[in-house]
This record gives sequence, structure tokens and C-alpha cells, in this order.
Amino acid sequence: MEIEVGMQGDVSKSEIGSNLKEDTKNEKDLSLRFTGNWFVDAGILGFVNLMEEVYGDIWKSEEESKDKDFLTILQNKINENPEVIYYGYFPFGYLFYHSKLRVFYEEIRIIRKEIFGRDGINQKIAKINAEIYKLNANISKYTDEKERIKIEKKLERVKKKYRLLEEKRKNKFIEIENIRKKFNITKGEFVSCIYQITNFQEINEKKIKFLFPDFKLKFPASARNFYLFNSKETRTDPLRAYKYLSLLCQEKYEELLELIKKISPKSKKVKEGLTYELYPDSTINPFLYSPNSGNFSNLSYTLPLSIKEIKNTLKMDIPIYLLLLSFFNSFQFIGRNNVVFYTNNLEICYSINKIIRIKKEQRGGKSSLFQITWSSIIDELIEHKAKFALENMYIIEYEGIEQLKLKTVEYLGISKLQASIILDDIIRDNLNRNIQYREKTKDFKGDLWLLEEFIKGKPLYPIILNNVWLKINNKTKYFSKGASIYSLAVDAQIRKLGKNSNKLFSQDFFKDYKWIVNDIKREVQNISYTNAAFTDLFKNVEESERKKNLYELISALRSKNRSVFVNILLKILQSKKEKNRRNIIENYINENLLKQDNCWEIYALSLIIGLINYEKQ
Amino acid sequence: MRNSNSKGHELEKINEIIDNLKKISKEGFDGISDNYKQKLVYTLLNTVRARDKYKFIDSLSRVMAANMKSDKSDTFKKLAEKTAELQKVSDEIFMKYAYSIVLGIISSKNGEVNTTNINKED
Repeated sequence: MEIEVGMQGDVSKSEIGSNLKEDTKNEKDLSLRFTGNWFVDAGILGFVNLMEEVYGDIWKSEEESKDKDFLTILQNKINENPEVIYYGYFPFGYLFYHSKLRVFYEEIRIIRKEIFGRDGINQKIAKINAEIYKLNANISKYTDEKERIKIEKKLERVKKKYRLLEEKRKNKFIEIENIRKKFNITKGEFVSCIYQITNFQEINEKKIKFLFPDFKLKFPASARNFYLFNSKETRTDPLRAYKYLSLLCQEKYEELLELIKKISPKSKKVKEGLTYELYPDSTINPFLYSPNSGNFSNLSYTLPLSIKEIKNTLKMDIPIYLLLLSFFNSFQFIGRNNVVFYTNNLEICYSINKIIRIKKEQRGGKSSLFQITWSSIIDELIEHKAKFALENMYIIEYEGIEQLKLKTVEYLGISKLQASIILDDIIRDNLNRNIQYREKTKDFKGDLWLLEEFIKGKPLYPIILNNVWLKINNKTKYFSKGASIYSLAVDAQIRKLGKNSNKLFSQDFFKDYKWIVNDIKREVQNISYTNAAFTDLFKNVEESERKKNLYELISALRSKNRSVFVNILLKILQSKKEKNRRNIIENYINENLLKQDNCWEIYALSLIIGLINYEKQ
Repeated sequence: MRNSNSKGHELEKINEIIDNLKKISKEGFDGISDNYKQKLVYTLLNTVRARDKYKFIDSLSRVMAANMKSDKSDTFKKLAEKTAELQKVSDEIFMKYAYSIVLGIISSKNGEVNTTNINKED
């Protein structure tokens, strides 16, 4: 309690109210920009996402905002009047986002997409119409009675399908109407209500209640529950919830306490004072300190800091609660996890995450989401020519929140080395393949995306070895010589560097890896050249002998027996007469199999690929 | 750091010996009949596979001894000195050195020189 009194004493009512105004007058920097701390930055990104979700369409249709991206529009609005955005539009947007009303809007959006979207009902109807037209035209062409009857029957079937689709479309429109009836607001009314938020201090009770009919805050597990929001008094009352949130963002703690007293006089807070409103902890965001760490051991960086302390440290002119509450809006659900792709530049980070969201929606569940995400990231970065962004990218993902605990949180960074390599078009194209590494079963596809594995810092050699083994045993059709050789050359170069490849802050963090791309390409050339020579040696050899040699070599390699591998290889060479080609292989054995302790297996596999390639020819 | 440096240095030294052994054995076996070399290579490869250092050195020494009087005597002397050291090295390094000798033999030029001597010894 004493602390709270202290806090209140420090920041008087009038002071808090005028803080931001004075700051603006002193021309404080109001620009939204990343701080370099991913946690705070995820909050900023989440704030932008949340605001776009709620106000995007409305603001973009304004005359002065035409042809501007949302980030610029939001920035302009903040520059114009930060208070209105932070204490008016944000609390309203936050409540709207987590209210039933948005669920209704979302339902309508999904139904509209089913009708008007790609492969939607409208498109299907258009296709059937074309088919009916074609069949009608065909009927008159046929003189043969049997054929004509056949087409007529088909026409009947297609027409039935058409009628069913028409019926379906009608029902979808009825569904939309029924949802609309539930909240009974037109878009125009909604927009006009939103513009009244500019006067956030005197928000119209009637209007806000009109906007949130049947108001009930619905928080997903990812956004944690405030005590007050959870209380009956605020959960069902949009005006109270709005006031609470607005005061919290304004850091008007005295007024906040007064509000709580009024809403719920028996509240523990009335007796003991404010808690997480002053010291945000895992109640607000599970990434923060957990007061019950005895029971729930959430990892945290520090004991809870007060809002004032956080603000002083960050030196930001943005309400801290705005960041803490928007945090989860920066994440999106990909595969099984909630993921945010973080890089230390707001514009790039925002556009990458936005593109991923759009592509995810467009493709639905049709192709590997991870593949879409990575290709989007790389395309976007190449367009921006922002190598630094990829080098400084982190992926933060968590599976979910269970019993107040974050489940399987992962922080994944792309090392500078990996970034340098995948920014090269040729290497990236060759790694951008799915490779079969295990036998396909009913429930298991058994393939891996090479680029993803590489970005994760995993070695590619074992994947290629398994793929080659499957290919030799006719258990997969898929084999790509290019992808295999590039993967092996990349792996060999990384091993030669003596890096574990996934260490972000290793000794050579500040090194530039431009040269490694050239080294990889030279390695590919060397491998391909030897490979071709090895293939040629088997030109006139009987199939059974070639297969026997292939099995012997791959078996030695799988058992990691260098001596046996070289032994078999030398015996093969000894039996061949083509001196020039033999010389190429002899040098290769000397330089890469005998001298390279770290990566002889990679070079050995590269050689074996020559025999598989022969099989293909 | 010092450890990895000394390891790197050691590896460089081994690689140097590998090159050297290959070069000497190539020089030594240049011009010797392919048929004979083929037979020898098979014997040597089998001994390396069995990690039988003694037999490897023995098989190679017989050939070298047979050629000590020829114009290749200096080269074979050098090779004999190096081969004698193979007994002291570990299995892994022996494998590398032995294969580099075999590689030298395989890559040497074909010919009919001194086969009589070799055949007699054999």
C-alpha cells in the first residue's frame, strides 16, 4: 500500500494528465520505432497490428490517407494527437478486438470470403455456367441419339449442381443477415461512433453501449485476464471496461482506484491498493515475472519493475500498458505454434509479418506454412535489400499457454553465416526443395524442407544421406542432384569453418561471410566435375556391377568407415582404365577423403551421387 | 585456442606427409608394369583393410628391396625410411599414409621397367 501511495504521491493527478501534452509541446519524438529489445518491440508491432485490424479499413478510406500504408497513417495520427490514439482509440480498439462484436464481424468476413473469395461459390457458379453453355452448344451438334442422351444427362447433372450452389449462396446471405440482426449496426453507424472517440474523456455511454450490444469480453488464452476485466461488473459493461483501460494507459492511478471503488467496493484492491496496474507481472503477460513462481516457474529476466521504472529505462513516449496488452497481436498462428518473426526494424518487421499473414490466408492449409513464411521473408528482404534484417532476425514461438505457463517457448536466431548464404539466389534456389528423408507412410510424409533445416542451423548431410539411401533402395522417386550437391557443398564449407553454425554470438560474430558464397560455388564446381568423371568411369560397366559397387560404398559410408570406403574406391579405380578420369578421382580422394577429417563423409557422399545420377541417365 | 591451433598444426603436418608419400611412391613406381602394380595394390589394400601394419610394410619392403639396385634406389630408400615409421603411428594415421602410398602407386605411369627384378624377388 505504501508503495502505491508513494507512486500516487510522485505523480499527481494533474501532472499525469498534462505529461503527454507537455512532451508534445517540447517536440518529443513520437515516432514509432523499435528499441532493440524484442519484448518491447513485439508490443509495438502488436499495437500496430491491433490498430490495423480495427481501424485499418476506416482510416485507409480517408481522403488524406489514400495510397499510404497503415504504418504511415497510424504514425501521422499519433503525430497529430497522441492522446486520442493512446487513450481513446487504443482502449476502444482493444475492447472491440476482444469483444463479441468482432466475432460477429469475423464470422461475416469468413462467410463473404466463402462467397466471393478465390474458389468461392461465385467462382464455382461462373464455371458451371460456362459448362452449361458449352454442353447446350454441343447437344445441337450431335445427330447420334445415344450421344445426345448422354450429353443431356450430363447437362441435367450440371444444372442440379448449379441449383445446389445457388441455394448455398442464398443460405450464406441469410446467414450474414442473421448475424447482422444480432448487433443491428450498419457500417456507417459503426464508423460514426468510432469518430466520436476523439473526445475520449467524455465518451458517450449510449453510443458505446450501442456499439457493443451483448458485450462480453472474450480473451483468448494468449491474452491474460485482468482481475477487473474478469469481474462481472466490467466484463459485461463496455463503458466501465473502457474507462478502466483508458485510465490505465493514462497512468491516472488515483482515478483508477476511485473507479474500482465505485465499480466493486468490496474489491481487495480497495483495501490493499493497486497491484499489477503499477507492477505488471505475468497476470498481464506470461513472459513477465510470475508472482507464483514457486508453483509456476515461468522464466523471467527480472523481478517486476514498476511502470514508472520501465518508462524511465525505455525513455519512450508510449504508454507501457499499450505495449503489454498488444504484445500477443504481434504473434500469428503458424503450424502448431504462435510465431513472430522479429527483426530490429519496425517497417521491415511489420511488412514481413503482414505478408506472411496475407499469404497464409490466401493459401489456407494447401501448402507447408513454414515454406510460405520463409519464402515471404526472403522475398521481402531481397526487395528491401536488407541483409542486416535477416542477419538480425529472431523467431519467437510458443505453443500455447497452459495452466498459467508458457508451453514450449523457442527463440530461434538466424546466424550471420546462414543469412549470408541464403541471400545468394542460386544457393537459395537449390536449397528451396523438399527432400524425402524417411519412408513415406499413411500418416507421415517423411520429407523435410532443406532451407528450413538450414536456417535452423541443422546439418544437411544426414538428410541427403537418407535421401540417397532411399533412392538406392527404390523407396523414393524424388532425388535432386542439384539440391544434394549444393546442400553437401554448403555443409562442407560450414564444417570447414569449424562452426556449430547455430551460435549467434560466436567469436566471429562481426566477420563478414561474403567470401563463403564463392567458396561454396567453387566447391559445387569441384564436386560436380569429379562427379561427372566418376559417372563416366561406369559408362561401359554392367548394371549389376555398378549396383554392387554402389551398395558397397553407401554401406561403408553409413557405417562411417572411412578406411573401408577408400579401400573399395581404390579397388574400383584400380580396375578402370581411363587414366584421365582416374586421375581426377585420385586427387579428389587425396584432397578430400584422406586430408579432411571433419567432412570426408560429405565428400564421399558427393561421389556416390555420381553413380545415382548415372542411374537416372 | 592454443589447443585448436596445435591440432591444426598437427593436421597440416599429416597432410604434408600424405602429399609427400604419394609423390615418392608415384615416382618410385613410375614405369613399372601395370599388371604387377595391380597385384601389389590389391595386396596392400587388403592389408590396410585388415589394419595389418606389419604385412603392409612387409609387402612394400619386398618390392622396394628388389629395386634398390635400379635407378630408383634413392626414391625407394626414401620411401623405405618413411614406411618404417608407419609402425609407430596410430591406426587412423596409418590408414591415411598407407592409402596415400597406394594412391601414388595407382597414379604412377605404366611401363615395363625392372619387372624382372621385381618378379624374381616376388
